[in-house]
Amino acid sequence: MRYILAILVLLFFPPVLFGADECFDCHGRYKKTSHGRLDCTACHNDAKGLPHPGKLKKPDCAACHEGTVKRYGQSVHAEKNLACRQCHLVHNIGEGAGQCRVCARCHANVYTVYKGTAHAKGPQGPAATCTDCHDPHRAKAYEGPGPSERVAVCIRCHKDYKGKHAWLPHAELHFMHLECSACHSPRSEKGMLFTVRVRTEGRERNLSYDDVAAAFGTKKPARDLIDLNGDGRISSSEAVPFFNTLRSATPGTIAINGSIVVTRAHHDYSAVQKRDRVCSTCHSDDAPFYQSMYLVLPERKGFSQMPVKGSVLASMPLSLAANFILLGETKLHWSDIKALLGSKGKARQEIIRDLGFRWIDIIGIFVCIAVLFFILVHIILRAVFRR
Amino acid sequence: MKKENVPLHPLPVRIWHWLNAVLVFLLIFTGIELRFTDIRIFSNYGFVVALHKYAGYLLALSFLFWIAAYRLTGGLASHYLVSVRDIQSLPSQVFFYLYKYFRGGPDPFSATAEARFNVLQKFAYSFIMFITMPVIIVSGIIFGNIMDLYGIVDQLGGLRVVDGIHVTAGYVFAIYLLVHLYMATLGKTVLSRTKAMFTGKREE
Repeated sequence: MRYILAILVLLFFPPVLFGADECFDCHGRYKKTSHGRLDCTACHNDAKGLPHPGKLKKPDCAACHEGTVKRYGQSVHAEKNLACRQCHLVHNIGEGAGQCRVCARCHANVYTVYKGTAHAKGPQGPAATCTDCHDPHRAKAYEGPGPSERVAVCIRCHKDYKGKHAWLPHAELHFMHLECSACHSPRSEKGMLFTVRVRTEGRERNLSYDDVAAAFGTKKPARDLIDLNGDGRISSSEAVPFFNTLRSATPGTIAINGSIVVTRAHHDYSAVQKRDRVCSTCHSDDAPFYQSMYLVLPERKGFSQMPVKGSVLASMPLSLAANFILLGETKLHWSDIKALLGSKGKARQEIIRDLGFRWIDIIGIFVCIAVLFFILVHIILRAVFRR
Repeated sequence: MKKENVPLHPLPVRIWHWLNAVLVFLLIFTGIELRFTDIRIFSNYGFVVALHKYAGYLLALSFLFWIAAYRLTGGLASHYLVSVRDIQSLPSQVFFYLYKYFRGGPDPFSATAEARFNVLQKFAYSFIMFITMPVIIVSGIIFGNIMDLYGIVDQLGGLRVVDGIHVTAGYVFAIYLLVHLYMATLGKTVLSRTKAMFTGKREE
């Protein structure tokens, strides 16, 4: 019986006519590769006999790693046309993916910063390597994941994050709108992102490009549909018609969720502002992210980030970003009043809308001054009449 | 002129008034720093948040004490409710403050232990105590417990709306306070009314 099987194998499976040992006669340096336990022909399956053709086809990794390759296809690395072997040096020994120096080949600057941080220096080797936080097969462009996805990465290790933030007023609220790096990476650049959400009975989801296309009946990019004058910024006169159309055509309620995210990451998370617990880093009117606020709009592929003022989205008649308030952002400046008084016509209309909730301060302060003026007049009259 | 001390403010009212005064000033100064974050009155922002929150809670308790005290002693209606007679006295009271006061004319209203406030004071105090205070306290409690009361925040239209309500009520209170502080100087002497709030008796 064994002989019959052997003859059948020889007849129908000529590739197994030669084994790995025979390959190593010529390719001995590949003997101890990470794939060493496989026969060479498991990947190089076009080498059907010896001698094999001079140039073999590139192996199809998906034949064994189907799920990983499929996931990888959606990643930013795939978008940049990185082949598997550019990270996975399958024939090399001791240099597989998962080691930071593989990542460092492209991300040299990040690696240089990382090397000096607490993440790289643990008592028994690195506390966290690149791939502990970043799955290279799922890596998205930085603006892709929302703060909650990024927080989820940190809390895989930093499980007691709530206990450590017991001192923070409204800690839960902060976690809803901030990612860890917003505070724990002081040298990262930060911005405020406003994402459009659709609420239907008990469910909430991000606005999709299909929603936009259906509302406007066109396949134009969302950025062209909102930025009517093409200046790359969103003013209230552009936001109002866009969201009104969206609101009337999309089933459910349109809302806007604001979050403070890192727009350019600096990988040093060791310098946690020395535990100063300085609220005014964010809660001040000169916090840097007031200069970088973006509305995130879904496109057919990916997202557009359009510069916008938060007050434009929060103020009437949109009243969209009404659940996101950052003390400081709403502060009234003298320059607001000067701009209001110095403007005319359409520009004044824009400023009136942009002021949003700051109108409370304008009217409040004006009435206080008026009352004080009246009191002053009364005091003068008292002095005159000696009362 | 014969000097006579008219009993006007019972002891619980005086305690309540001065406790409120301390809390209101704390709340206004911390409130200014919370609203205008570059104005530094207290050094630590976290401390300001906590101070505003707990002073606010104490003010809410003080408000409950005020209601409870009036429920026990009575007189809430006679002191605060604007009657038809009060409305009829409105022109003469306004005329007094705008003109007769300067000519040395007599105040058409004379405060007694049973009815302490003239019609203008009644309007101001009722608006502050029955509308502004509940609004500012409820919106403040919501702000102090955002996550627990998130459903209410959502129903009201979001945090910015709750913030708008709280801050508007704050401005109304500040405007009232300016007038209140000035009116306190319009007694026999500049300080006699303030003194009355310590001694309980008004000099006549």
